[in-house]
Amino acid sequence: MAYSQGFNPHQLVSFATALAVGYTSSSEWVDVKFSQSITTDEFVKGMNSVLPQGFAVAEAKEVADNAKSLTAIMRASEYEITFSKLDKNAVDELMSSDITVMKRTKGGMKEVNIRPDVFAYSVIENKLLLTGRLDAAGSLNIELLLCALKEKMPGEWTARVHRNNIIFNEGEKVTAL
Amino acid sequence: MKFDFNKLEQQLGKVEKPARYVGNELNIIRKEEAKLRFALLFPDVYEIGMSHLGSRIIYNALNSCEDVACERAYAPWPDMEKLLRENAYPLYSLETYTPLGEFDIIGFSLLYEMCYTNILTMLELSSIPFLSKDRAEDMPIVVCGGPCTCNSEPIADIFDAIMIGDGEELVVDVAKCVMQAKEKGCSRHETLIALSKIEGVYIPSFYEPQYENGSFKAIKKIEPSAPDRPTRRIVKDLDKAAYIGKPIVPFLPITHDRIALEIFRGCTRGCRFCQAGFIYRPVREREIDTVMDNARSLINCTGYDEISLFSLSSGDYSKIHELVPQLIDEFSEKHVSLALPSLRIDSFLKDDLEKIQSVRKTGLTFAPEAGTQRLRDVINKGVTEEDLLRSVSDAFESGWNSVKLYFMIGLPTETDEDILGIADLARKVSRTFYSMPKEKRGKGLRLVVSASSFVPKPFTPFQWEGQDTLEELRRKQLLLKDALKGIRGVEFSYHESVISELEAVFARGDRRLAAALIEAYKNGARFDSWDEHFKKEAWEVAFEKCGIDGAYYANRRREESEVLPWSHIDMIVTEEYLKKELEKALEAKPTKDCRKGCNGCFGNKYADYCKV
Repeated sequence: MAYSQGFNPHQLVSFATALAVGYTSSSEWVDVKFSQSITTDEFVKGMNSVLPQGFAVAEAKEVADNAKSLTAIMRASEYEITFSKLDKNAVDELMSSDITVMKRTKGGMKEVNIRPDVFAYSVIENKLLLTGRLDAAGSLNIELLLCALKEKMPGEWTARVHRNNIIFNEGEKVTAL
Repeated sequence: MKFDFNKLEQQLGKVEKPARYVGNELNIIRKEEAKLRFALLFPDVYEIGMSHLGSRIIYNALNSCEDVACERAYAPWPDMEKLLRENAYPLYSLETYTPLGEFDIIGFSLLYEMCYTNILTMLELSSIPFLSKDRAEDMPIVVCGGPCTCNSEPIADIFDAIMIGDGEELVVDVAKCVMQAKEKGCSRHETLIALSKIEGVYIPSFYEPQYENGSFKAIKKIEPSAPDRPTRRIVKDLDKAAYIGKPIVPFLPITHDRIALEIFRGCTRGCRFCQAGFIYRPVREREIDTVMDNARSLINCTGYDEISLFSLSSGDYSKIHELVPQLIDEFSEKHVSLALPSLRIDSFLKDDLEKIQSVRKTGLTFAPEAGTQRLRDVINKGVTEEDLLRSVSDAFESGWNSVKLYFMIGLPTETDEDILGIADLARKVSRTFYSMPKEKRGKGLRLVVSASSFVPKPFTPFQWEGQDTLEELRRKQLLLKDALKGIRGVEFSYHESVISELEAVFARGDRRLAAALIEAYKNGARFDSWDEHFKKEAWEVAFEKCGIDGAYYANRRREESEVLPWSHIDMIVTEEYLKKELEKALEAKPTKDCRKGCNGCFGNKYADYCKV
């Protein structure tokens, strides 16, 4: 492994993005830098021999030393949200206009429209498939979206959020596992 | 009792830090088949329990037995307790999500008295009655171990069996004994009889306390086959004993998130307030080779980047000046840093400081404990002002600027002069820093003066002493706070003394306290060592209702002729020795470090236990 320079060296490992607590995912990407060469195969096998149950490295790619970081090239995330009950009309209604929510910012609570952060969506039975913005400057906040949906779809329901995919630019779409 | 963990998992998003409750960490041990299932419980939150070295040793020792499966559980934080109760979920093990009530043995690690209410939470959430006598034949055997077991009387009625002393061999004996009893189809009582034959096991129900006019008088053995005095278990050779194997690496940061490398057990100093200094005797060191082997395999199987030497006084390790450079040489290129906690002022060398510095800078802690030489002699803390000032001066010259000084207030024979002595010492440390040329010292000084309230503990020379009253402790805290004002770089930190008073009650309590403990629990007491959770009223109401006078236990000076509630336990160090030490303390006479010659603390019976 390669280490950063400086007084407190740390390993050069950086995840493309954080996954919110309580969400599941089948697609997380991480940049790892090595001080000596290692094949992708060695890396995948080595990691999978020590990762805890439920975690596995599915795929590794070698990139140039000067390649941009994953955080710099990520564009969107695909989510699969499973509801205990879901009304397609409520989702359509929500998506048909601005979605104004209160967001905590440095300057206090602020009103923002998160509809532009939703790139695409579809409803299949009780699942909402969603492609949302995810880049270095910001991302679709799923929790705020679910709060907004609560107004259109009252009553008791629960939702499980799962990330299927992270989409990077330069035509490099990473396949779901 | 069927329990669907997947359903609970869906709801975990509602509680703080759900990673506390999901298990599945790196190096976790799961066994499908086992003849005996042992639930290892820590009655505090996950981050604290996971930091406990002893529990990790026990986990490895038990799981090293083919037929035994040991699984963990920690006290649920109040939000999780609520979630479990609202949904009628049981408390479960993190390895296989098995309800604790289904285990053969439930074993608690008891490190401090203020965790006792959490024992009750964990039992109740497992549908196990609080008191040993109320448990049905098919229920788990409830046991405990750890330093609190040297006076387990306040909780004796809760436990079926209590393990006293070093746990790594003892707990395996207990597990095997219960496994055999289970195979033979023994009754609960027969199992306890069998357990009582194991050295280190104390079966509380085989002994009955006697009271006279509201005072504890003596304890009487009622089961003829039980030992007269249950005796502390000692592991003779640590090099041969189990260590922590492949330790579990947590998903969330824990309090001590690093490799703990135990270099020796016991301490030769004999500080008279320090229970650990008496109940872990004799000193037993691990060989350098064992320590280095442990370090290598622990780093390899965890990926940790920090090692901390672990013992009561790491500077006293006979080969410390060989070990530290070896560790640094081997691990610095792997980016693994070394921390040396619990260093004593007088055993510290500048060279070592500079080496630690070269890897990573951590805070430095010194524990003079008392503010004047007279009082340091009373407590036998063989450290002088000169030692302290020389050490901090060395540290400052090496570029350190963050130092913590630990003191106690309320020590026996203490006067206001001793309290003001603490401030004097802090002032001298501060001056040492600021009198150095600017280019030679660090930026600004951060000098934390921490004062805890003295709690007299069983099996120390001060076990007969009274604790200062709450009013007196508070007065002394304010006196010190005032005296520290205006000293450059000083921060003062002290704890709520009500908690120290309650700790003193339970540390030297008898069996009558169990009722008050249960009552306080019913009044909502939980996590009592946490200032933010401590409910003073819950305890006051409970003591009132059960007719318990806290002062009887905490503040009263006990006669040396009194039978103490714990004197039927043989902790190896003799009562005569403790009495002699108390007399010397009151005359402010120090006792030499036992590496410089035997002081005879084990008496004749156990003299050969000590190889120092």
